[in-house]
Order: sequence, then structure tokens, then C-alpha cells
Amino acid sequence: MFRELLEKISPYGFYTFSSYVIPWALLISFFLISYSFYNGLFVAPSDYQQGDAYRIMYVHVPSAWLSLFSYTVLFFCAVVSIIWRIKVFEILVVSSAKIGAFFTLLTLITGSIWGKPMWGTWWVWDARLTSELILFFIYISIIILNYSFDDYRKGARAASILAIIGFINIPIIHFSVEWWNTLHQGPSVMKFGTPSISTEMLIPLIYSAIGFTFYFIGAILLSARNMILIRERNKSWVKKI
Amino acid sequence: MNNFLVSITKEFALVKRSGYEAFVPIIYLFLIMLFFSIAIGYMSKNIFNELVPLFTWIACLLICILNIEKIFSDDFDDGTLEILLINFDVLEINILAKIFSHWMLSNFPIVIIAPIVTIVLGLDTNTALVLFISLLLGTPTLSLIGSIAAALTVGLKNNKILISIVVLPLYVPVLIFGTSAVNNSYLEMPYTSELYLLGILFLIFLLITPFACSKALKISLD
Repeated sequence: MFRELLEKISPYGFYTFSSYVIPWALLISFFLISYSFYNGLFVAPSDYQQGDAYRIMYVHVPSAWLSLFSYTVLFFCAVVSIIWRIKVFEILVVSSAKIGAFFTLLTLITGSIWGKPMWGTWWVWDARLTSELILFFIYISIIILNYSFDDYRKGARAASILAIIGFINIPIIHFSVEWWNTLHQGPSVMKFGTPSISTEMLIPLIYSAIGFTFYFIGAILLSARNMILIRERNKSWVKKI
Repeated sequence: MNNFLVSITKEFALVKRSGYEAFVPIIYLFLIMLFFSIAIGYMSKNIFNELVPLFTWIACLLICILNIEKIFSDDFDDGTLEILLINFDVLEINILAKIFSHWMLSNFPIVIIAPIVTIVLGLDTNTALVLFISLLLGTPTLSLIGSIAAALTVGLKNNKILISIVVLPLYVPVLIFGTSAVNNSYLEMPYTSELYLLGILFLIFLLITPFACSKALKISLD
């Protein structure tokens, strides 16, 4: 069943489908992000300990969540492209790796801007920072491996194998790095029981996370569309556009 | 099993013909020790003693990726690899044999010589023993992970830097567990759980690697 469903996804069908999805995703993400930024930056009270510096959380936390979520997307696309060899998913592997690397870098940068007033340094060799940095390197190695092949389909499949190996390895790396050293403040949203963050701060954070996720969907589809247009530029349907 | 022995005998015959390959890692280990000791020479001697086992671990990582692309590149150049891919029921066993002989020639000399070197440099014998066990459990994992990257990049021309970029982030758990076992033993704290974890890592990658490698070889040669 899956096979028949997935084999119908041609580059042309993907192109027309994504041109319906992209405007909506970007529009929803624009409204959600601006709403949450307004509430988070102006309405929510300042923290009794961290002052106003905590407000960078509204960028930092969603991008950290997306840096992991996009690896999951990358993994599913990699599995599909290894098993069924579908062109669109091979392209989605590369584009989700790019967007994931971007969000990981954003997490690292906003985190170190937050860390300067809070911890007194730009960078600490703390468990979560280090595993995020390693995640960034894994993304970069997937992208570089993809582009070092002449034949782009070969490159995408090699990158998918590396992505699957990385998906097995990331929990191990995370666990081992936690074993090694930890200083980061404990998780305050995804905790069993009530979250240790006040509701006025939490609600804009949730909106911002959802908005960032919609932006992520739009960005992945946009970058995949670009790559499809470049790679299929000799086909007749691209020449019509 | 028979295939395994045949291909291992072939690999060792190749090495015996060329000669001195087994001594290269030992020389490399001495060179790395020399360089580290020169670089931190202005610090106190005690710090150097603490750092010696950690240098050994770093040296193992570097030696492992130094000639990891040799696992498949020689056979790729003379066409043996394609014949192996055609009769694919022996492929996984052959890959394991290649990885085993790579480990025997790159890291096994260090595993043997490292405890002696560290004792000479002033480490206590118990820590040297822990270093030996952790290297014995950890370095095969390095060869296993590295062989996947070597299989992925076998057809490419400038694959050396690419292999190290691909492989080094995946080496982090092995490095952490190995060095923390040695450190804990040096500080007289319990260290057995790290050794168990190294063993688990080895088993996980022993299960994954042959299949991942054969898939990667089929992709990069098709």
C-alpha cells in the first residue's frame, strides 16, 4: 500500500502540491511567530532571576526543538529513499539536512548570546551544548558527503545511509555526553507533571514553537522545489514554467 | 567461517609481502607522545602523567582514520571489490574479515604497546591494565565505524578529509567511555560500568556494520 502511494509522488506532482502548501505554511508561521513574539517580548513578565535576558528563549527553544525534529524528518526521508528510491525523498534528505543545520547553528548562536550574561562565558563544555555541536557536525558531514559525488542520486543515497547511521548514533552520543559532563539547567517544558515555568511565559513559547514548525515545513518545501527545478531543468514541464 | 579465514589469510599475506606496516602505528604513537610532551612541556610534570593515557586514546583515533580508506580502496582499484559484490552471499563475511585485519594492523600494535609505554612514562600498573582493557574493547569499534565511511567514499578521489569529517563525530562515545574509564581508575573510582558500555558499543556496531557497509558499497559502485 505504502509503495503504491509513494511511487505516485513524482517531481511534478510534488511541485504542484508544494505550491499550494508553501504560502499557507509561511502565512501561518508569520502570524503565530509575530503573535508569540509580541506576547513574549512585551506582555510576559520578566524573570525574577534572569531579568529580561530569558526572552531569547522564544527563539532558542523552538530552534533547538526543530534541530532535533528535522533530524527525525531526515531519517524518515532517508529510509524511504533507501528502500523505494524515490527522487523527491532523495531531494528532501538534502533539504532537511540543510534546514536542520541552519536551526542547529541558530540554537548554538542564541544559546551563547544567552550564556554570556548568565554564565559569564560565550561557551562552556557542557553536555547539551556539546551534543548540539556534534549534531551540527553530523548535519554538515551529511551535506558535504551529498555534494562530493558527481551523480546527485548516488550522493543522496550515500547521505541517507550516513543519516541512518547517525540516527542510531545520536542517542548514544547524547547519553555519553551527559555521562561526561552536565551544567545546563534541567528541562523545564517537557517534564512529567506540571512544567516549572509560569503560564504567561509558556503560552507564547508554545505558539512560537508551532510557528517555527510551520516555517520549517515551508522552508524545506521551498528548498526542495529549488533543487527539483535545477535537477529537472531539461524536462518539458520545467521548461513550460 | 571458511570464507572468513580465507580472506583473512589473503589480507595477511598481502601485509607480509610489503613488510613493515605493523610497526608504523607504534612509531606514530611515539611521535604523538613526543609532540604532546613538547607542547605542554612548560606545565608541571604531574599533569603530563595524568594526560598520558588520554594521549594514547587520541593517538588511536588518529591512527584509525589515517589509513581507514585502505580497507576498500586497494580492492576497488584492482577490481576485486566488484567481484565480491557479484557473489553477494560472502560479502558481509569478507567485509568483517577486512575490518578485522585493518584493526590488527592499525590499532592492535598500539593496544599491546600502550600499557608498557605508559608504565615507562610513570603510570601505575592498575591504570595501565584498565587502559589496556579499554583499548582492547574500544578500538575495534573505531575500525567498524570507520569502515562505513570508507565504504561510502570508496569511489571518490579526495576522500581523506571527507572520511575524517564523517567519522570523527561518531567516535565521540567511544572516546568518552574509554577516557573516563582510565580517568576513574587513575582517581581510584569505580570504572567497570564504562568498560561494559564500551563492550555494548562494540556489539552494536558489530551487528550494524557489515550490512551498512555492503549497502554503502553497492551504492557507491553501482
